[in-house]
Amino acid sequence: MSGKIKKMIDTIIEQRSHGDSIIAGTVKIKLILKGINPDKFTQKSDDNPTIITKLKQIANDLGVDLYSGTTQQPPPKVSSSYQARSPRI
Amino acid sequence: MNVITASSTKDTIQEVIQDINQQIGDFDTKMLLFFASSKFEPVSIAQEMQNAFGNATVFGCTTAGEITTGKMLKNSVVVMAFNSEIIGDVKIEILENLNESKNEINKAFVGFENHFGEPVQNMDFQKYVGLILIDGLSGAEEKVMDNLGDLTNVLFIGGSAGDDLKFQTTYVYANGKAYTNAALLALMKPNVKFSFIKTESFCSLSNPLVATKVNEAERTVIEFNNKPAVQAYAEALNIPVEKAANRFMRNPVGLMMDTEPYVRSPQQVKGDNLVFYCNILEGMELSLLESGDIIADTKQAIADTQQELGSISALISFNCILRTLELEQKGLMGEYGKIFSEIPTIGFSTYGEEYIGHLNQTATMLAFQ
Repeated sequence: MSGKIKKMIDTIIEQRSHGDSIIAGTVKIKLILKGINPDKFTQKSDDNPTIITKLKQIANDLGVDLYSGTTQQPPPKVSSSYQARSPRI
Repeated sequence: MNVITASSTKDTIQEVIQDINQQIGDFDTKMLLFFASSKFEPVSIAQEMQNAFGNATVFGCTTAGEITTGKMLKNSVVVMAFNSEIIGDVKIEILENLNESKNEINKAFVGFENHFGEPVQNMDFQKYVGLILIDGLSGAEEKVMDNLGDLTNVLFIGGSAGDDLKFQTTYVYANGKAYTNAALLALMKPNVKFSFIKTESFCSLSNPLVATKVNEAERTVIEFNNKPAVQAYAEALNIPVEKAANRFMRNPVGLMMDTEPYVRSPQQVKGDNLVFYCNILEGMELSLLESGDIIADTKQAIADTQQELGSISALISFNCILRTLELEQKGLMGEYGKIFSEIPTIGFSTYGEEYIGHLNQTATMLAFQ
């Protein structure tokens, strides 16, 4: 099977960037620094399970739901234990 | 004028503060950023700077050399005072335990939310900007930058604090205190446009090195291309292994974003391994780099940003100590300083540069319109 990695990468960039090209560029750099170079993967790239696992973790860290079907997600919220201390504004 | 720069090469903290106070005069300072040689006792300078400019948000760090408008200095204190015309609002948070950076960042973000009235996660990256000053000997920069980048689209730019090449202890300063094993986050809401500069003077050679075995925690590559790291590095340069270390400054490696490198600099040969100033993850493909003309490339980067913003009213510069050492070796310190002679500038020579991630042999800069 092939193409899954490219699809996951595209989903991460789309969801996290809200369609903003500047943020999309930043997300690409973040992915490179996390060890995934988006330009290295195409529809024909093999579904390497190690990379798929890594991308699932990256998506989780970036607050992206790979399976939601939505296209725009804000960055993840801070943990609830700290949220609870925030006053209502 | 919305910013004032000042510097002092006096010997004692009291003399320095008196000197800087005279240069700043009655300027209505909203935020005061300072970079100080590690020769100044850290607890005292943190306290004295806060006492002297108590109405402003005062913060800074130790250095491996200082930069001010038109000059590269040593054993000095450099200061930039901003008024509220340029910095609408600023909030400082300290990450005091870098071993728990994610929790610390969560706490800091709550502090920012309480101050600014909106979650950092929702902030507009074109209205807010972050500065990060971090212990340059903590080895924690990658993790902290990674965690920050996960949680927000607001960009944090900055540098790793130095200690004048003693490699003993570095400090960040805020709230009248000196912190070590810590990072300082300053989240700002400027009233003017701002832009980022990331400049490094390297071109990519054609020899890719894939990190096939690493010790991430130790920033060590054990194998490139399934060969002992130092052997693969030397082969790529077509030089004997014994001469590999001589080429580190001229030939670091880089993660490539199109043609732009994110530089990782080798620090030392350890057995057959290569230790870097920045971690390299297993599977990363890196390009071997060849150094170029720092002066010309930096001038071009500044000119591009001047064109983008129309003009630059203030520049905060984080210049890698390895760039500073290269400039020093080539007798170009004065010429480099002159690049900034027409722009109000503050900066320092860093033990690492921060922009989206942790970088080496790079200058990162924040420019205000």
